[in-house]
Amino acid sequence: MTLLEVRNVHLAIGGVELIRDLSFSIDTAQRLGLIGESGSGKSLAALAIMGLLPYRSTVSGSIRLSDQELVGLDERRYSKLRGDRIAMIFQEPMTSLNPLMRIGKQIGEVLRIHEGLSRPASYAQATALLERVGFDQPAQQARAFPHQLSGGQRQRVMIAMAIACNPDIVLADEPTTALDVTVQAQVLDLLAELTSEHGCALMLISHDLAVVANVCDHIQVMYGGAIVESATTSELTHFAEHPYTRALLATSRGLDDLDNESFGQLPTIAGTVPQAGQFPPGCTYRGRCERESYQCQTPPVVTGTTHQVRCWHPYGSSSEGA
Amino acid sequence: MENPSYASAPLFQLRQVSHLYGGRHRSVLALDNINLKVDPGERIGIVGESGSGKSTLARLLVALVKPSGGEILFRGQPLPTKREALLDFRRQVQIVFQDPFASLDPRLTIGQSIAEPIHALGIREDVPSRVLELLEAVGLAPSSNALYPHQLSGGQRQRVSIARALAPRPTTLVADEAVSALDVSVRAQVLNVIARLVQELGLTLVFISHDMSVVRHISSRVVVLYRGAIVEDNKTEVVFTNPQHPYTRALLAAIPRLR
Repeated sequence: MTLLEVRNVHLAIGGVELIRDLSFSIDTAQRLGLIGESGSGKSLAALAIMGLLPYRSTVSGSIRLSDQELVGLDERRYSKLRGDRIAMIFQEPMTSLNPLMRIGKQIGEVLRIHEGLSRPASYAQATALLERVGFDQPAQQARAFPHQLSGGQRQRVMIAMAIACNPDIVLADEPTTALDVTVQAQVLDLLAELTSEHGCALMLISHDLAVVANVCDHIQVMYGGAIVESATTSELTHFAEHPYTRALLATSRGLDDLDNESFGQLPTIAGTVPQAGQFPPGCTYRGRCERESYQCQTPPVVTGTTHQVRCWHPYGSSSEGA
Repeated sequence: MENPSYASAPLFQLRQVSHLYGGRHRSVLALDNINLKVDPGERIGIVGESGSGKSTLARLLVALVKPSGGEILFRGQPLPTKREALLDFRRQVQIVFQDPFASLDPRLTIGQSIAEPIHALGIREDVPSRVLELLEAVGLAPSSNALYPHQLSGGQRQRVSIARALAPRPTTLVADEAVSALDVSVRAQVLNVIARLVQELGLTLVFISHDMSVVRHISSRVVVLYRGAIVEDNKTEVVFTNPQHPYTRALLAAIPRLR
């Protein structure tokens, strides 16, 4: 069943168009990965869903959570949804926690606001949540301030806050990018486990294809504010059709490739992501693409049903060019 | 080994080096009795998680901090403390830090940032042409010279940090998590720049990272740090095919891979 549906969303900040024609949907309990380089618009897409866009932003199109339209929703109603039905985990757990509030109280806050729990009840529930996210001495650790915790522990606190009210969907924006690899693996496992326990959908945003592929069952690739390819994880990692997805896969595999000469040159993507508002008209990947033609000056249309690609010259779904 | 000859001496030798942070009441032992030898021309990778002492080791190697215990020899001599000798040391050993947003002065142009060590270390040379040469070496356009850090992307800023570190023509480069803050695709570009320059200039490289796959690619020898101690030290292929310490195995198992 479709839980969240994003339809033809265009978003501009200060007149600069940053998201163009974004359309996708997430089913109940689905795990969707959203990947792309810095500047592709993936974090903005999450903020648009959360209704946390900066001033001077204009949004058109439709974002529906179940039967409720979120575009243009007033702040009072939005704040009732946030933390209750949609929750978000940010990249930097140091700046997204209140440094002056003990973590038990901080987790309890969301329960007091949305579930109307009393202070002692919310605190007890917060302690239980800390145990769920893997704190071994929850009663004592609930009294800690954020600075007394490690990066991994802080991100566990963020997860505890996100799942506190059993939301329908958790948006996780680069939740493990600031963490070490070992801690990253633990935090991702925890996120996957806790969301599936509650039948909660997960949208995982990352620049790291390998991270997303290990957690999500469906992956969308974003570039220049639009989704350029969307498919199931195994389809996308084995039969990518968009030249940009292929390039991303090659850079991700570069370091894992044991045949790759040690200390040799790694595969990269030619050029750099243009600055906001400076993407070329037509296909936004123009100028970096190996398959570019005159046709790419007009915006490509999306083709395919379960495996969608926005490109005039996609690679065939066979092994062509692999 | 008293007075070893200049040529045969290891580049760095650490003998029972310990480092303690903090005061009388609470202190943290960041490095505990480290013994390490780095030969000229080696590419050594140092891995470990946050808090394992990696960055402390980097700071000790470039003489930004003094060890609380033990001694560090550079070409057979103790690390300098006097100004003149320290300047000479800094012409030979340079560092690239993790965060390209925090390690460049926002008020200096890219050209000024790259030229700063040339002036500070008292090197006589035609600065403008050297800056252009360095920009080209790291793959930045000559026009970047006049830009400010906020006008560049993370990857471009890290290229500037590399150009700045190479400005005094060092023989040794210490990279402390130099690619950790970058996107996967940009990371590959910056790694390529480092690999190419290390090869072209014949640098000794100490590459510090928490990412095992990056370390495997860039280094010929791997040192694994865990809670301030060296738990494994071997050739890269040995560490990756036959890891001895359980912590090394855990690090290897945690690498996210595309199947």
